[in-house]
Amino acid sequence: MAGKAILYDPTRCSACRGCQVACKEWNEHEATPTVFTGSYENPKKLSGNTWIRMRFNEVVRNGKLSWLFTRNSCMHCTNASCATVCPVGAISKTEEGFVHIDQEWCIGCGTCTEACPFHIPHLDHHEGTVTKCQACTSVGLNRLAAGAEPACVKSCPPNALIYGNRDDLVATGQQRVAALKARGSTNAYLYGEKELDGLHVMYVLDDNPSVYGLPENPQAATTDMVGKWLVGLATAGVVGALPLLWVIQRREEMSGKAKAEGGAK
Amino acid sequence: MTLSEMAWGVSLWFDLWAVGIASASFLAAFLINKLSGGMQRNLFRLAVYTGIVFALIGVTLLLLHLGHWFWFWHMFVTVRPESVLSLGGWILSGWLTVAGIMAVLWIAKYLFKGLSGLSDKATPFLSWVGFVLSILLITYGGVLIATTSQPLWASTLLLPSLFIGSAMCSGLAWLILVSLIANWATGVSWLGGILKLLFGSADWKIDVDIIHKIARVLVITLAATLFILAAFVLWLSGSAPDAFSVLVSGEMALYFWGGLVGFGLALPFLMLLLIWKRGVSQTSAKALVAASSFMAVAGGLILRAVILFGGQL
Repeated sequence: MAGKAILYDPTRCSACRGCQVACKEWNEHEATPTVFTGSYENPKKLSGNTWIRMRFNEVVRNGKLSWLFTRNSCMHCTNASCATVCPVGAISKTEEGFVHIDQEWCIGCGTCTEACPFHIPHLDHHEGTVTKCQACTSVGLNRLAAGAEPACVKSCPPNALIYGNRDDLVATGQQRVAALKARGSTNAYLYGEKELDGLHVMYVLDDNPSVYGLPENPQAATTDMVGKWLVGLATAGVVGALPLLWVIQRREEMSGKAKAEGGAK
Repeated sequence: MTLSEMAWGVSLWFDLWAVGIASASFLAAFLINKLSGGMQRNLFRLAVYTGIVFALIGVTLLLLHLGHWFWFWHMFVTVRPESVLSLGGWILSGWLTVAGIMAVLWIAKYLFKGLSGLSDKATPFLSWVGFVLSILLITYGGVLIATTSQPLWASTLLLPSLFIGSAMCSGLAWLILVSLIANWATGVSWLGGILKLLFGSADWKIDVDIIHKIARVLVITLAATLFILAAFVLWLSGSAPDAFSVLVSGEMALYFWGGLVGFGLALPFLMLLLIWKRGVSQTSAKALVAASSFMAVAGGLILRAVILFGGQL
């Protein structure tokens, strides 16, 4: 598959959250006031002006506590539900394959926020539009057009984030997965290679996706849409019309018959 | 997650309810009028007039729901069949246009005698168009919610059916309530002018027999909706156990069991069944029908709250 991508390798990530700060700085977003909640994970949620955050998953594996880091941001799906369900067509793909929301066209209906299998887009209450990671392609702040890599990638000290051609990154990811398997991580997996027709942000995981809090088999929101329309329309016919036909028509027929019999007498 | 943090909040909740009642009451009154050989024209007109009010409330709430309400016109420069909200916007606009033209033609018929021929020719055709649009409109709300990635909404195929069943209950109940109100209003002298303008005469009543028939249809529809709800919950228990727990034993349990199942569906069903099977005095029957209809209308609102907010927890 052509296009660009970002490869994230949690096994190299130190969770310094430099990517979070770089994203805020480059996109000119204000800092989010937070409080300590017993975890280094901070802020606790994505929002209209927090487009990337590191998740600190505490998981018990083989009787030992593991601290697994995950990048929580837009996965830039090839089969992007957000783009499909947008009623105004404000969500499109860049030539690199990243998912971009046109802030001059979005009406802030929130349909994309409910459709995203990763629950990424959020309403920016101040601007009235839905926002998310734009892979540094926002108007006036387009790093990719200038030949630079996304700000989060640029800021990553241990090179846990790599930016490049997607095909090359798939090959790199597969090599790392093979190395992890050789070291005993039998569930190691390249997340995003095939999911939703291929994601433009891929993860090298040393365990099952669910251990990292990722959906095992993400589905597009529109997967069963035709079926839901058909079931709905059939119900409208059965529940909407049949009881009326039965009660009203039967009663009308009965009263007509009674009148006819009365007339005959 | 708090209510203010939810992407789909209070205004969309009321919008889905209002649009459901508008389409269901149109659909039901259209069929009742057709099946009665055109004898229930005033009931149909009541449904159209009040449906327009509900739909306008729905449109207003839909606009308020948008982050940029003054950019709503962006929805009407593109048609996106794969987007349920886009389709819904077009269907709702079409429905309002058709219902609006019908209302204008009916009123114009009484104001300007020359328009009588046009009104009599156009409104039957328009009512059929409105009927088809009502079927689409009653279906769209559930499909909109179901075409998402929220487990409570999307993991079964039955959510549109549940919304339709509930909308039909509310729509039929609304027809009963508005008929009772109309029958009271036709006896009030100062309302005569408005009734004459809207219906051509102030000297009419909705037949009590037809109100009883609608109540019987409501009993069947409430039973069908309870059945759909049971099937939906059963399916959900297998396909999305966490969402199932939120609904039946978690944060939404009280609203689900007490509000939706008890107050909104089972209780009006039992009250109406009491009149149907046992036979009660006419005065008691009228009070019971009115009370159970009110509960069924409220039940539609409760169902949408439980599902819409429960899905975002």
